Amino acid sequence: MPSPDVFDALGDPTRRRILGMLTHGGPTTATRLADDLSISRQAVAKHLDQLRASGLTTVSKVGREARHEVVPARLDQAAAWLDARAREWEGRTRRIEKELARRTAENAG
Amino acid sequence: MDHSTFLPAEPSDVWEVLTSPDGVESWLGEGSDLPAIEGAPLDVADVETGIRRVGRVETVEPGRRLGFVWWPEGRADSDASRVELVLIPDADGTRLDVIELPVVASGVATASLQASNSAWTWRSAAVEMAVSAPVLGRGLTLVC
Repeated sequence: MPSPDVFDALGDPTRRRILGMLTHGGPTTATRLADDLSISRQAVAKHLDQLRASGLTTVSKVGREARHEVVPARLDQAAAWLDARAREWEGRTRRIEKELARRTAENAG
Repeated sequence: MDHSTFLPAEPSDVWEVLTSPDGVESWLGEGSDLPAIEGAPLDVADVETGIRRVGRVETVEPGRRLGFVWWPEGRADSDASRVELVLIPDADGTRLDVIELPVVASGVATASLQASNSAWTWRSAAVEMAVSAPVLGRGLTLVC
């Protein structure tokens, strides 16, 4: 099971946007992310800290820049967990629907 | 992916299926016990996965919300998750929203786990992940 930290990190829409930007745009700096998101660099830095703590991103030094990048395996792991739960709940909700239909038919009869 | 399911029945009828003893057996599996009592232990013969799940009921708001934590028997430390079933009156029926998220293992032992402020729906997160998947090149498939 993925760490709960991953889901906490994914729980915020800004952090999900940052992940999307890193995924599509590749490694970048907090300053560029702040510009693209039109929020303060300080706010971006806090989000990046949480993403890094959860293992969803890593940071590396390139010259004087700290570049952040997504860790695909970590994201995949969370998605796989969600996918499995989703399939299970599809089955359960189908059975709830079936039972409701059975009861309705029983009451009608 | 959408785990908001529309059910053509009143919330009270959906609640009855979710929580009555025979209703519980119908959707979780024969022999399952999920009392609609906050703090009560639950014991589920999960027909969906074929494994036994145990846990504890956390939230009972009749006709509106049922919350519990559960885990495969013997794996509370590694595989506990929190489930919230929310019933919302909708047109001629009920919308059933389901959220399931992992919980911090050490917190399961306490009886007062609070609903996560950062609970997120499968819909919003999975859609974004699905968008990201082709770029990641992992062939990620999500139920839509």
